[in-house]
This record gives sequence, structure tokens and C-alpha cells, in this order.
Amino acid sequence: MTRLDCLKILAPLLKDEDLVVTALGWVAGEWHSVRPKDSNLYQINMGMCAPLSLGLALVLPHRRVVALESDGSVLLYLGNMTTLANKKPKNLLVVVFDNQCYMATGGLPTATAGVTDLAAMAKAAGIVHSYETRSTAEFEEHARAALGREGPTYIVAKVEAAGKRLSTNMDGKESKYRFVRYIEKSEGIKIIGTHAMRRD
Amino acid sequence: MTNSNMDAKARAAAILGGMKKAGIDLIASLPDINCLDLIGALERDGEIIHVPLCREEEGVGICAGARLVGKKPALLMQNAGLLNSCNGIVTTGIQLELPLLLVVYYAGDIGDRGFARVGTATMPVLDALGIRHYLLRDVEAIDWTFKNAWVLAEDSSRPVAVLLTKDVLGTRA
Repeated sequence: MTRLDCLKILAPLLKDEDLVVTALGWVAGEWHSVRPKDSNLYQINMGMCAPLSLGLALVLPHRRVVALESDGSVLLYLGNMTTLANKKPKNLLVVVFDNQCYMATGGLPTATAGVTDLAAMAKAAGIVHSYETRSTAEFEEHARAALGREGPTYIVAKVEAAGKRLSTNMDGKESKYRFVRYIEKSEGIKIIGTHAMRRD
Repeated sequence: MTNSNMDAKARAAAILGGMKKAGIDLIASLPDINCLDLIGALERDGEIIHVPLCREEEGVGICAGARLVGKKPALLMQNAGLLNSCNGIVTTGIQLELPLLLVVYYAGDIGDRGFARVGTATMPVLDALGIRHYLLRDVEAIDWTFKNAWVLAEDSSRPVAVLLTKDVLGTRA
């Protein structure tokens, strides 16, 4: 199973208005290739993807939020599992693509290449719906269930250490502005404007 | 300094009130003993979304997410937690040009007994990160400082730090 296999399964399960945040690395370009929408936020730096997604989920409880994480990124700030578990956002799905290595920095093994079980850790942190998936059929089953339930879900997808070098053709700031403008429009709020003329 | 007759609980309420008047509506926090009254007031507040953390840096991510969907977020922590948060502040807060209020308890301040090393590191680290910082000692300066710190954060699209001292918190022995 590759990450791209899983992304191709996930994309048609989502509604246009579902918010998706990707970690840094090839996952951003791969996701953009299967679901190029302004409701995506791409290339959030190591460790910050799940916490940032938690922030979105807590502020917009009526929107579905999906974090596309990686094993290396999650391992960097493991404690966030416990924060997520205790806040219990009903609308958050975290998918960790676990390729058991730091692929983007040369492929040295992560802890999950050894004895570490991230799904079991997430469950022990208090995320009741935590699952490890090893086949595309299993992944689809758990992704469908996650999108149909209230409560956080944590899916660890064991994938091959392979990826496609696809690009989003935008930098992080362009992705931010697209995402923020999309939120402004879809939520009917103003987030970024010109402050210079304000008198407050 | 003025208002020396206010107790720590009243000062905590004034600090939270100052943040609310500045528009802050989400606070991620990790406690310092000098901020217990402030976090207690935050827990009782009911209007501000409060996210208790286990490490300060995850709070940068949570605040970043909240900002991207329209909140005015603050990260409440010790200065030791500021040191823990530097990577997230740079790679997410500064990288994405997000306004964020860092409300930092300033351990190792002049007059403290302890934490002088982290106190010594605090301002140079903020300076190195290009984060402007304002030291809060006087209760009367609370509202002005938070209001203008947030204006600066928004106007510069960067994190801005307010350093809380024992003097303003009313916890100096």
C-alpha cells in the first residue's frame, strides 16, 4: 500500500467543504494531485500539522477537518496526542502515513521501524477510535467510518517508503491566503484585511 | 507601581480582562505557579476557548490553526516554555506570517530568587527571533499593553510577546 493509494481512496469520500491540512513533504503534492481545492492547507512544518488541525477543529466544530500526518512528524511532538484526546474534537480525523522512515531527509528509520506502535499509543492517550491499517480495503473501511462518526479518529496507515515528487506549485504563504480566503467566503467572516486605515 | 492593594486574584482577573478587551478569544496554556489564578480565571470565563497543553510548542500549532479561521489567539506559558516553542514559532508562526500573542511568565526577573539563567536567555531569544516584546509590571498598563500588542501583531503579521512579571501578577513575596 502506498500513500497515494490511500489518498485516492480518501479524496472521493470528502465533501468539498471538508478542510484538509497536510504535513511537509511529498504528501502535499500527492494530495494536491488528487484533490486540488482551496479547502486544503499544504506543507505545515514538522510536528505542527495535527496541532494546527486541532485548532481548526475546535474553532469550527461544524466543519470536518482532516490532518494528513506522517510518522516522523507525529513522533516529534507525541504529547499532542494527549491534548487531542482530552479535547475530543468531534470533527477531526488524523491520518498518519507511517512509512517507518524519515524519507524526506534521506530515509533513516523512525521508531515505528522498530518496536513502536503509534495506533496503540494514540489509543492509550485516550483517542478511542485509533486504528492501524495495512491494506487499502482496511484503510477505506476505517476512513468511511471516521467520516461518519462524531469523535476524533486516528488512523495509522502503514505505507511503503515511496512517494511521487509532485508539486503543489505554490509556497506555504500562497496556500495560506487561498485557504483563508476560502474560509472567509464559506464562513462569511473577515480574517485578513488592510489595517492601516482602521481607527481603533 | 500603582494599585498595590489589589490581590493576586484581582490582578489575574484584570490581566484576563485586558486580553479579552484586546479581542483575544482562544488561549492555549501550560501552567506556571505564578499564573494559577490567571488560568483559574480563564477556566471559569466560558467565553474564551481554552486549550490546556502538555508542551508549549503544540500550542503554536493550535493557535496557528485558530488564527487561520479567524480567532485572535494567545499562548500563555513560562519563559522556559518559550524556549521549548522556538521551532514552531519560526516554522509556523513567523513562516506563515500569523499574528499571535505570546503571554510569557518572566521567570528569573530582577528581584527573583531562582531561574536567573532562563531569565537571562528570554529577551535575547525573542530579539533573535525578531519578536517584539513588552514587559508588564504595572496593573494600570495591562489594558493598554494587550490592546496595542495585538494591534502590532496584526499589523506586522507576526507573534508579539508580553512578559508577565511577579509585580503585575501580585505574586512577589
